Amino acid sequence: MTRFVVDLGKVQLSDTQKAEISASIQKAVLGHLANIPSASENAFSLGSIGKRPPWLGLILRESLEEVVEAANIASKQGHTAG
Amino acid sequence: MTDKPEKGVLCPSAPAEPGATLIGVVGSDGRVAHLATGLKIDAEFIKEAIVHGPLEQRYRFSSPCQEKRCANWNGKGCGVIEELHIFASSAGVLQEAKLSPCSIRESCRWWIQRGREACVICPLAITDQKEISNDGDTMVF
Repeated sequence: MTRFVVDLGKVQLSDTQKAEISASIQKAVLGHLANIPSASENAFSLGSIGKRPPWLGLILRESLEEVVEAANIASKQGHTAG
Repeated sequence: MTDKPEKGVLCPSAPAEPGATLIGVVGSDGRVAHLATGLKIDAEFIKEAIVHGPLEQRYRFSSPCQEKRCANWNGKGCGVIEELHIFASSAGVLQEAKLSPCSIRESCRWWIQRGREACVICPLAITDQKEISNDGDTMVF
């Protein structure tokens, strides 16, 4: 499983802003998926890598303490936080 | 009964059109890897992806099931999954137990008709080909 997470924590956003960010993220992902040359030349696999799935993405927190807290939670869940 | 399609039921093997949802990517092993989150495609995606070849050979898309408006409707349900089921039964591929994640399972036409077996067959199916191929374990449809 390949999962990208953008966790904005307590950052306050309007519903419109949230929808726009979500749309932008989806657009970025689609842009990459659109350029897979062909099935036979597919350079990446959506299968799991190693024993646990990677958890890629951004975690935006308001303080360093919250970053550490988020990383600890992710670590307990078997993911890598960045 | 009207000609109006049942609301909310989704075709898991729809053409690549703006507004369709990308639900899977064909991997190097020929199997479809399903996205846990479907992504709605637009004209820009199609324009960019078509450069590399026919989209339906490399991706799987979902759209609302058109029922009687679709050439694959057999009068009672989707003829595609029924054909695939016959082929899969004879090929002995229905024994697999673990289902892959799917973003549309609860609303999927194939799931409604064939349940778990549809989900075993689904990753082996590639959309929009003219004939069923017996080559390997990928059912080209």
